[in-house]
Amino acid sequence: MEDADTIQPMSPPQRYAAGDADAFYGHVGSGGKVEADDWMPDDYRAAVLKFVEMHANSELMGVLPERDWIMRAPTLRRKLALTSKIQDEVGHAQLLYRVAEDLGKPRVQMLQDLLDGKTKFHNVFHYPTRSWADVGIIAWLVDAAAIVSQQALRDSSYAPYARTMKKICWEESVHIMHGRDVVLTLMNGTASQRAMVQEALDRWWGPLMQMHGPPTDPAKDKDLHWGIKAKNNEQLRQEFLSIYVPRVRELGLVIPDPALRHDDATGRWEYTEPDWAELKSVVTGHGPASESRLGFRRESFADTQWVRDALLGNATAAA
Amino acid sequence: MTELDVAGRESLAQLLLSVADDEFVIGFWDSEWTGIAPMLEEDVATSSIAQDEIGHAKALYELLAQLTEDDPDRIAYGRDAAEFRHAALLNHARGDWAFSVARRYLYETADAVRLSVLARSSHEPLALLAGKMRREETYHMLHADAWLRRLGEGAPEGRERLAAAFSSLWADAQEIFAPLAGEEELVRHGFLAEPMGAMHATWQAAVRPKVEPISGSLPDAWPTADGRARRTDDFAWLHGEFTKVSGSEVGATW
Amino acid sequence: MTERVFEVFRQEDEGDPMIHAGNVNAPDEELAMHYAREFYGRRGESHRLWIVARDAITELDDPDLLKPPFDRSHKKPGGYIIKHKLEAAKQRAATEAGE
Repeated sequence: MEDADTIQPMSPPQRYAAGDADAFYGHVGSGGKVEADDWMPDDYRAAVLKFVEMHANSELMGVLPERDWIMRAPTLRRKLALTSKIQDEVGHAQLLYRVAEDLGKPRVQMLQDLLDGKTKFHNVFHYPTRSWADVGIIAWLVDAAAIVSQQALRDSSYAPYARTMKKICWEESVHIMHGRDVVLTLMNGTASQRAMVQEALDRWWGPLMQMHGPPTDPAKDKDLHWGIKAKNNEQLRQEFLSIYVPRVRELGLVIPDPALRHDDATGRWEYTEPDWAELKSVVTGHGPASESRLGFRRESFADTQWVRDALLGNATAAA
Repeated sequence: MTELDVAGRESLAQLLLSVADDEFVIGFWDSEWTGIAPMLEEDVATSSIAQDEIGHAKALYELLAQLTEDDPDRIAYGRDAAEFRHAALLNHARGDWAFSVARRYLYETADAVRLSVLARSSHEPLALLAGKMRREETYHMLHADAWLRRLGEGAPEGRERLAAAFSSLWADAQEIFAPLAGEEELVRHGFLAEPMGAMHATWQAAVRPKVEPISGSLPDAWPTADGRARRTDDFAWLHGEFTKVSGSEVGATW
Repeated sequence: MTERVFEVFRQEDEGDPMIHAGNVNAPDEELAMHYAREFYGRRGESHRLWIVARDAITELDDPDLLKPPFDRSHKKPGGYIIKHKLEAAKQRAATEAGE
């Protein structure tokens, strides 16, 4: 007998039957993946759609703070880099709206809901930009905070989203380098250029700290349980601080939070509690630039409606 | 390449500046569509084309800077509006989508003629650069043509807007071939393998059959003496925008 | 005419397999080709692209067909474990040679 040479039988694949929500949640809870045309419970579909739609909206609205500076970029290379970066953000919006559309919501509907103020976009894109230093700070620190979230999403249970995040993370890494280069050049420049950077940091630090959202109760965080996202808000914020606080300080910049310090005993960053009321107010459309940006979007969308109609031959053509 | 005499260098500098400024300015106008183009996919495509133009401008300014011992960013950002030498076609703001499509079509077709001549320039660095640019322009022409057909052969509103845009841009489009200071020198040295007049005729012959089915018959038109010197309020605004930061602190590095 | 979805496959380098990269919305094949170039080639990152209308693709994901239950190990290299048999054969041959 050749017991040592017998082949071990394959274990049956771990799958769930269509309609079996418990088995589905077991599947995603243990690292299983879901594709666009797999069966999924309505709750899960709705949660992923909401998450991805807000992300898509944010990429699209994120174009606007920086767009003005495409015209004002002070050198040929900066003009190319900035235009390319913003082009990438539009590209990310496309990638994400595509993922969301395959979950069942048409693109035209998502764009309309955004313009009507029915869906949200991230807080940082509700604030105005005031100087060239803002361009550097946004591309460096805002994109860095975003990439911390986005890297965690590369392992999302919803596979089309996870795959898209891999592409987005690769593209964002270039943006961060561009942003840091802009900031470094200014910090190595004149006194007024350095002051411009400090002033920009003073304005952006608050929104940055709010960006990952308030700490949530892990037991109640469905997005976490269902594997849609892999890390909680506080973990993401801590990760961002660990990497970027030293990098900001080493340039001689002062972070406008006197309470910000690393507690070596706990391994945690301590900081002044961000203004969660401000965050809530801003994301519900009451930020300083919310209305003007949405208004600008509505106008451009209306101005180009004739093109979509001409191309696609019907009045409900999507962008 | 033989040593350039002063007149030869001057004339070559004017040629390089005219092409560079054309690419720079059209790149700027079309980059304004970034984020607000009619469709997301189209937004990315238009932005690529605009970036290509800026890239071409950068390479041309660099070539010019070598010739005149200057700095490319100084040439691009350090001049007054009146010192720019782009064709009047590029004086107009981007307008609506049909206007941009029309202007791009007129520009790409003219640029194709010009580049095929520059690729035969006796000034080798220019010939090489023109050859590289032509390869990127393949895509631009494909895209411009795709939109010409979609608007020109599609729904009435698109056709009408496009027709109106062509009519209003036709006169200024001739100025891509406006006479250059020192053109005789350019032709004598072989920097320009054909004079502007010949290029203009080639371009018109190619473009009328494509545009007139949409716009209707277009009048006779020739370049004018100040075709690269006259400026508009639109360009003054653009110039103000792109020099805002660079001009904010003289001598600073950005 | 309405918008359609086109799947894009890309080849990283000459000789590499075509790998699914993503998808674009476009009114027709010509613009789909332009947009595929933009999303999956504007940085010069692809050697070749295939652009295919999504409705031209047939998908198979039935586990009864792709992961059927009966042993198929004889169809794969890992299904032939010869370690012990080889040991035994070598030993016997060495012993015989020594006689």
